[in-house]
Amino acid sequence: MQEQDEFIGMLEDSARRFVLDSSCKDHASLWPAIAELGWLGLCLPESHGGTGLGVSGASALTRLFGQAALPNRFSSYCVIPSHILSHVTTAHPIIKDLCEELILGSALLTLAWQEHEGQFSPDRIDTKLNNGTLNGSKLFVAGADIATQFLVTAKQDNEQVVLLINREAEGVRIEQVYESDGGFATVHFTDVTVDESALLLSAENASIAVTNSIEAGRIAISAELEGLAHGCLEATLEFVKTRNQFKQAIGSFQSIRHRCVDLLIATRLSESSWRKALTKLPLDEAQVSAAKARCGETAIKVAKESIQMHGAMGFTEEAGIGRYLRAAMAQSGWLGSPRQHRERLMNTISPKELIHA
Amino acid sequence: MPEISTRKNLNALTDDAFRIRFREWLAEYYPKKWTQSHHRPHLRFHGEEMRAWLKTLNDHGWRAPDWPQEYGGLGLSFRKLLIYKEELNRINAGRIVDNGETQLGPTIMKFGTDKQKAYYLPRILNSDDHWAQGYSEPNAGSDLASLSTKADLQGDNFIVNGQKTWTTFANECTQIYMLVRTGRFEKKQQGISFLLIDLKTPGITINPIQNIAGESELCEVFFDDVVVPKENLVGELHQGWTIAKSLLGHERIWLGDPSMAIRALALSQQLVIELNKQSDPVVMDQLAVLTADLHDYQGLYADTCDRVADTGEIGSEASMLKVYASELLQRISEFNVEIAGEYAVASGDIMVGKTNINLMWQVMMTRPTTIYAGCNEVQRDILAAGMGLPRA
Repeated sequence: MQEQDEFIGMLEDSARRFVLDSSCKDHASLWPAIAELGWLGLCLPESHGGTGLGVSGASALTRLFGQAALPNRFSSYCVIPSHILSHVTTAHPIIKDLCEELILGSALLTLAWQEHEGQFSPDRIDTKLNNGTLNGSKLFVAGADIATQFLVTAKQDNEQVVLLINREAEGVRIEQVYESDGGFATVHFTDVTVDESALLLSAENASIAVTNSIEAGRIAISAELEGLAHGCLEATLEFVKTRNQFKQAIGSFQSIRHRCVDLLIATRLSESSWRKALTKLPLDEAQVSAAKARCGETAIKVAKESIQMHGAMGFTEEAGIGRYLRAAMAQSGWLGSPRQHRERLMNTISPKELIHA
Repeated sequence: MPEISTRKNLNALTDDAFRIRFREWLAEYYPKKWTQSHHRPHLRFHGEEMRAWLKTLNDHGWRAPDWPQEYGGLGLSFRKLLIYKEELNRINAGRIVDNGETQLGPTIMKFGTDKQKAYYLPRILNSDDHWAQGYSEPNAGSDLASLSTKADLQGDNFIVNGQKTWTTFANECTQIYMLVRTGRFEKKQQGISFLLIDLKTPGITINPIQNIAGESELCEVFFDDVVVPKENLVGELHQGWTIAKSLLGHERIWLGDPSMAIRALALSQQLVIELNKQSDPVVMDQLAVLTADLHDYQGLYADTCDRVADTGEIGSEASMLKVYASELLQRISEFNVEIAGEYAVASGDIMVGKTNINLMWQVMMTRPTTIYAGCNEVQRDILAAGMGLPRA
């Protein structure tokens, strides 16, 4: 554990330098650079060729990406698929190559699980695999715009499976690519032929893998959201210390000072929430939900108030504060809204636990 | 009967064993009638009751957990201190205002003479003396350094004239430690001294002030030519401000203790059941917000405590805890009144379903938490300075 903490500390140091120096402004330029650094193997266990730092290591990274408001798809192309693949036995004929491609950045894998608006749990699946043929539709598939393969959840004779489907496979149709940094889209699978080797996981193993990967994604996103709040607040503090009006820095006005303090407190609560969730593995639903709700709301709150404190400048794209709000809203809405996560927190935490936490 | 604790064996215990030891002792000796309830969620000990309880603690070797052993305390590690607090919270023990233990004792240890240490500290432990804190004045609240109660040194005595106010439990205490003005210098922080006064001294008048919760815990205290022996000065003459500022070690952490908010939320949960609001989506979402806030705050509080346990440093973080904990407590207690609807017409006890509740009391008792011990506006100023924001 201590060794792992040290690794994560070193990772954070190099990631901080990378984020500060990086001229990468989008996914396309970022991905080869972070593949080069070996970060795409973070979430895969050593048995699968990865470094085995898991979601703790990933969250240290996504937090820093958030701090710099760096558009990235680390959660969708690395954290979530790695967690799926780590459940696939090394005896599986294609797993070795698949993991290698993921680590090299040549395969862009994404999990396609959601079938309904507002769907929270991945267990409800109408997509069917019958006699080697796949039919169904998936909503809000992250990074679907340029993904090379989809990890698709489906039911085969009432048993859950996870399938690897190539983007180019016949019967795969990608529609409604939303304008977003995350490349979200709807993906239809119509009479797609599925090879035996494309069956990665089945039965309980499949449902555990999908659940774990989504929970891991939620935490990595929470850390990124807190990073967004942190970075946005830092930028705003810098601004209010230097922006003069009425012959003094506006940061000397109590209305601004106290506002900044409240945002700092909210940000600290957020950081504490996702770090606390990571102290328990496998991830605990209540802790994950507390973190996702807290970090999402905080990132949005900090960004909104930062725009206000930047005055008219805050309304310009040039000021860069808008990037924080855009990213915060997108990440907060994905994989369960704050309201949904609070509801799950309420349903999973016992009053006793709250009192004697 | 549980073994009577000796200071030595307490510190040698593992944290878990220590917890069990204290828990078992409390189960046997804590007086159930002083337990907090839905009716009195923020119950505080008063006068004789408090004296009796503190004496029980002392007789059984559980008194003054934060004091070093050389002064008769338990000298517990910060981690064990936390456990000590947790166990009291677990049984819903009443709150204690014991300035002698938390404030004056540590001050005398740091600034007092050997004679003062030998005389006052055992008397605090044994509950012979109960100390009120004489800081605030009508014109010196948040701006405490502008205080004007005067102490003139004449021969072997100080002659004290002036007024203190918001003095908690002055009417139940035997002594008062005060900040008094002994001189006028360039800065208002200079010329303040720290003085110990027996409340039975002629010339002292104590008037309780009724608060909006219907109680009279606060007092105003008048000093009219009160004669105080010179040896009652703590530390150097005119250096009282430094002394007062160095107080509040762990107290600054305890101000962020989430236990009052926990108690308030337990009442919320009870009210939701009694009022049949479990299927009201608006109420349940509000409750979820408060539950999540408390849950996450407990995490932050635990993190901060861990850091203090590891580093021994408290820092401006403590102000963050105080601000958030007190405001969360208020939000929860306001929610309790809000969902109670017309039950809020009662300003005293009222049965809500099968639970006897005093909605007004529980909300009013939370009002001063954002005012006392450095009002939240001042705390936010401290935090803003810590963030490097310039002052006006």
